[in-house]
Amino acid sequence: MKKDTMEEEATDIFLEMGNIGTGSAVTALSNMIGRPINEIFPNVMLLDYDRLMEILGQDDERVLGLLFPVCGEISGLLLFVWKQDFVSDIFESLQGTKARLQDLDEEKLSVMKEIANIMTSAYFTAISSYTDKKIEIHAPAVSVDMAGAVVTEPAGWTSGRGKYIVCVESGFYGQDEKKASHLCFMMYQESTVGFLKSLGVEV
Amino acid sequence: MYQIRPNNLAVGRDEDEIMAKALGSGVAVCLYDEGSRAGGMVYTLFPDSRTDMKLLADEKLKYVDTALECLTKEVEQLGAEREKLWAKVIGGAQIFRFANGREQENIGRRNVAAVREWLKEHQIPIKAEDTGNNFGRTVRFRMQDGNVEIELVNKHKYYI
Repeated sequence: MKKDTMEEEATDIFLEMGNIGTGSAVTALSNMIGRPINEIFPNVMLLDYDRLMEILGQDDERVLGLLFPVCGEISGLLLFVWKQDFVSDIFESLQGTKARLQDLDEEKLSVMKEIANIMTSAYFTAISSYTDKKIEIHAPAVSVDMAGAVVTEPAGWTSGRGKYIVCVESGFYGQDEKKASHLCFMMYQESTVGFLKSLGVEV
Repeated sequence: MYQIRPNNLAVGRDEDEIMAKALGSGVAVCLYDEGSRAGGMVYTLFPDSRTDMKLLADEKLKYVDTALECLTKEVEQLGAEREKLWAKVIGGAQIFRFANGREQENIGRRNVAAVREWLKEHQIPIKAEDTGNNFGRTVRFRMQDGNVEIELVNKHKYYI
């Protein structure tokens, strides 16, 4: 892998990883809320704040962020960025009531945490069996704040451990693609290098 | 209104305004000289360039120390007097807090500490500061009078 480009072979591996993980996570979500969920083909990039924000939306848009530390043979941070409309759709499906992000109480936040937990578990179980790597997920931290603030912290955290952070981003939505929410796996540099080497990819 | 992205800076004077949206753990530093009504703002995400063994020329704005050197030079070139500069420091929040604290690395606090250290070393006084806590901030810096407006996600605004 060279400074700001990723070899095609490595990109294909991460794309496939994102595809398999997201497919599984989205199926889990769809089963939970009893509605079909569509996924957007993943993006794989070396972490770039501006490019990531172009995909995720406006910097100052209010979002619900959930951040899961991921350890083991593949490690990094998994960030969920949930948009207002999609969160509202979920509560409508589950409880028959709309929910605004600014009004999410402890109970509603727990529901969203549980949904994200199940999706994260499905995401990494699928990736683990695809890659034959052991992956451990830790309890998440939650924030309702501006999208830019939610993204820069994990971006800064991962980049503090190496310059070349692979970011696998996927979108998912109910009916309207414009209302898509996102999940974003930022892999630590040492994990990326070890992972690719174990597959025989030159890094 | 000129908007800067993370790891970037802008300078201006008189009627100019500079904005940085949705600061989280990153820190924005505004430098200003009231006499010449010239100043600038830099928005960085990382505290210390010395941790980067392969620092490239175009990565200086990523780190507090090298970014502040660049900003100081640029505001001086615009006509600000070095001895009259003051600073306002914004950001450095901790957006995510884990229940067990185990995975925690407070990069926001380290960013703010790095700013204070650099400014002290270079004898630039801090006129006002709004840092830390657990919320995002959008910053608007007005060159006309050095006023800084801070806006939160709930649209609440205040000034430092």
